[in-house]
Amino acid sequence: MNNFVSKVLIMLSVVALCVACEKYVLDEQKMKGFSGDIVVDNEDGSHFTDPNIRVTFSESLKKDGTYDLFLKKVKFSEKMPVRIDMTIPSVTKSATDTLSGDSIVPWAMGGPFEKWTIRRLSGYITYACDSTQLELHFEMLCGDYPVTYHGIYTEE
Amino acid sequence: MTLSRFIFTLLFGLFFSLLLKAENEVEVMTDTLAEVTVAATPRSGALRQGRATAVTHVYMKRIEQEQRTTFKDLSALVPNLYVPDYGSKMTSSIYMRGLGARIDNPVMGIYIDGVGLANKNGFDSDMYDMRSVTVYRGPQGTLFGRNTIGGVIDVTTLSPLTYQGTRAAVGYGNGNTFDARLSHYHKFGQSFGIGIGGYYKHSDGFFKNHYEEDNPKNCDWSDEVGGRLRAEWQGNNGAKISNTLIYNWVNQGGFPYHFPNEQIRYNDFCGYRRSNIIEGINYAIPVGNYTLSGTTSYQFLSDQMDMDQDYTPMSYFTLTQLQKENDVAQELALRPIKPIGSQGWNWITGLSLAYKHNALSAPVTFKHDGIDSLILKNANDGIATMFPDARIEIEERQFVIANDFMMHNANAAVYHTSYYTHKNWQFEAGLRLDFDYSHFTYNSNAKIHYLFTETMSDFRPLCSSLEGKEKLYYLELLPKLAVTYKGKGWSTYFAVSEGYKAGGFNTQLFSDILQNQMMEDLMNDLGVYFAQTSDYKVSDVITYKPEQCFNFELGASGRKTVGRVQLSGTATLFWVEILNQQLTVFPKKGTGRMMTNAGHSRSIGAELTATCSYRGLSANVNYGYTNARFVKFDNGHTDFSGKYVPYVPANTLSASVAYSLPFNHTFFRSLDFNVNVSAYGDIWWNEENSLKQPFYALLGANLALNMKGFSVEFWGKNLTNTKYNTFYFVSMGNAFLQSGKPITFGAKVAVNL
Repeated sequence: MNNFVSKVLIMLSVVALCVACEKYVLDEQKMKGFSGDIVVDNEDGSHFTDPNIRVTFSESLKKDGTYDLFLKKVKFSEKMPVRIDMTIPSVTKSATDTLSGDSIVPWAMGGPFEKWTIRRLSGYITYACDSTQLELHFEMLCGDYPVTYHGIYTEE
Repeated sequence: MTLSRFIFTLLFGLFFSLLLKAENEVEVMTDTLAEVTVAATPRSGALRQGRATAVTHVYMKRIEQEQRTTFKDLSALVPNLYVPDYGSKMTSSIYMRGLGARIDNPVMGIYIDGVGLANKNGFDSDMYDMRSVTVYRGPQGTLFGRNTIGGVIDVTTLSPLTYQGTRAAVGYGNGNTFDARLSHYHKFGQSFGIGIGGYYKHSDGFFKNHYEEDNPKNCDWSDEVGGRLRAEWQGNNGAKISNTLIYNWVNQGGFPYHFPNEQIRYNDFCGYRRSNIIEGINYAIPVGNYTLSGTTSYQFLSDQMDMDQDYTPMSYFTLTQLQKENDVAQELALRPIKPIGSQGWNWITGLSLAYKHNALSAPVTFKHDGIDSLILKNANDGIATMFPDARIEIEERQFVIANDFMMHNANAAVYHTSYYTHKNWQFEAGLRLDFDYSHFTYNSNAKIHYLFTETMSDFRPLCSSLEGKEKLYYLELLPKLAVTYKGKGWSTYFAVSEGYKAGGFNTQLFSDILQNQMMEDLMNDLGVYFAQTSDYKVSDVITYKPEQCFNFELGASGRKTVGRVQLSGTATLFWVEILNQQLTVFPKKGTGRMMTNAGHSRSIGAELTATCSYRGLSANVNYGYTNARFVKFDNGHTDFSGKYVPYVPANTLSASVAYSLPFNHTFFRSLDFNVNVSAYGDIWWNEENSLKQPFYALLGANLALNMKGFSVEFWGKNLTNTKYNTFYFVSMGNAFLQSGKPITFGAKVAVNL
């Protein structure tokens, strides 16, 4: 019984947490900003990390039920002489705050940037297990390069 | 010309003048040629009577004999004065005792018949019927205020109350140079006179632009027209009123700059046009034992400069600069009637007010080579590292960065100088409180259409603009302390004085600033950010503060007559500390340049003048030495401390020998001969002190046959056709030079009725 109660309580807690997360995520004013590291896996097995990259979502759910994901002033390689803004349009977000997308042509440098077509985007928004901070995590192929992002919610 | 050639030239001239020497009486000078110095204002009168300043007088005869028709021609004639002749008649860079500036405020004030020229763009105009030019060397801020840290040039023209008659001249010289002038001075009764005159001058010029290889064209042609109306009234009680109205119009080509050892080759028009009106009324009213005097003036200047700013056959960018300026000024001075120098206390006190309104438009047109090389290349080089096949394109083959500025400047000052004379000693103490206020509004903008080939199919508009206003005000205290000892036929003085050069606005920066902003706007529009951003924060860079100088000066002068030989000479030692020096620096980030108060320099030097006359023979030598070095100057890239200040000649030297051979004849009056040399150098061209113009000398000569009522003259300048450079600068990483004028010569017929 105690085990059952314990399991129920745990499940309720998880549900409560999910509900809380859901409410939190749907509070669009608070959806605006995450700050974290972008990690790019290079062909030679090394990694390039660009820290403190801000990622935001479009302010409201679009008609097709997707969000736009904005990557601000990001570099994908040490050799990039500039930072760029990149928009990944039409990212699907599920009711459980998982993110997904495939074959998305991002917008960068004034228009659609096919060379960097996004494939196999997957991720989630959740609270970290050991804190109350909201986290954003996603990984994708940007062109041919595996890119991973992990950030926490911060005020602008 | 090397030093040995210079000495040879000097001796050559002396030799020939001595050959022509004859045992005749000294020519009786007419009034127009008499060596009379007339103080146009009480301030210059006080300076002259106060004696505690270095002075050079140049009189009409020498001015006309040596064809010194603009103040640029005073270079070297006044020790340590160097006014290089380059660019156009807009360019009036003056260097004196290590002080000087290529742009913005000048270091010397110029006064014509008591009216101070308000805009340095109007400094360079031909003058005629100059009765005397007096140059007060060293800071004259206590009496004259701002922008006189190098001194004051005081020009007085013929007065209809002292000269009546008609003067005319027609001349022709090489370079298809033609000039004509006509003036008439008439006195109505005993107390009123009018002088009116005008001139025209044309030259095809001396430098050819080889842009069209098969058809090189002269690029420094010029046309100039001017006139002057002077009316004077003098009352029985000592009251005086004089009115001077001057008009000057110039239209010329210009800026004959070229790569070192190459010909001039630029493809876009370079030229300068100017209309200038100077109207001034001087008045003096006796009030008991005092004289209240003043000058009220209005000046208008409208000019346009067109410049192929890359000075190459390529179409990078051009600059047009149009300005309209209105100036009004009021000077009032009160002083006792008794002259300074008489025993006891004497003084001068005054008030000065001035207002200036300047509307300046300076559009920069970027042409296709400039768009490709200056704007797109850097951007596309960066992009190519990421996207080898992509590039940014600009739809326009040329576009304009519009720069419109409006400036109001007001200046108010009060001053007082006391003189106390006790026996042979004279003590001078003066102080000026000078307040300067400037208000500046700016509007720079440009619109282009651009395309990034990787992501965009159509050109997208991009507008950049900068708008704002700034103000600048400061209060300066300008003291002078001096002591003079007057012996019999000689005097010596020691003086300490402060001067300042006004602060201002970096108008020339705006196209750079906007160009940078356009790139930033374009990149931001693309969502691209450079790691290093421009350092141009407009409010931080567009103003610069006044430059101050402290002058310590020890001088002596003497005059002696031995039989029929008259000797006179002066010697001056000076030490000038220049603080908050206005210098061009590079911001720590970014690629632009700006004027800022970055420097401290020290100038030490000496000046010697000597004249000797014996009957019809006279000889004159003026020598100036300047050792001007930076005490502190870091331009953001390099520390130049200890280096010589560029553009300042280490030595200036002028020497002339004149001889007048009178004829005892009713028609043929005299034969006048003059040979003169002006020499300059070394002149460092850059702060690194890696390039210089070595010492060079220019030989001039004049031969005039004077007959009853008219004369025929032959003249020449740079007779040895010495090759030298008069200007060096760096633009877009390229070094450019302007060569000095080659040999010029001509003949003139003058009528003096």
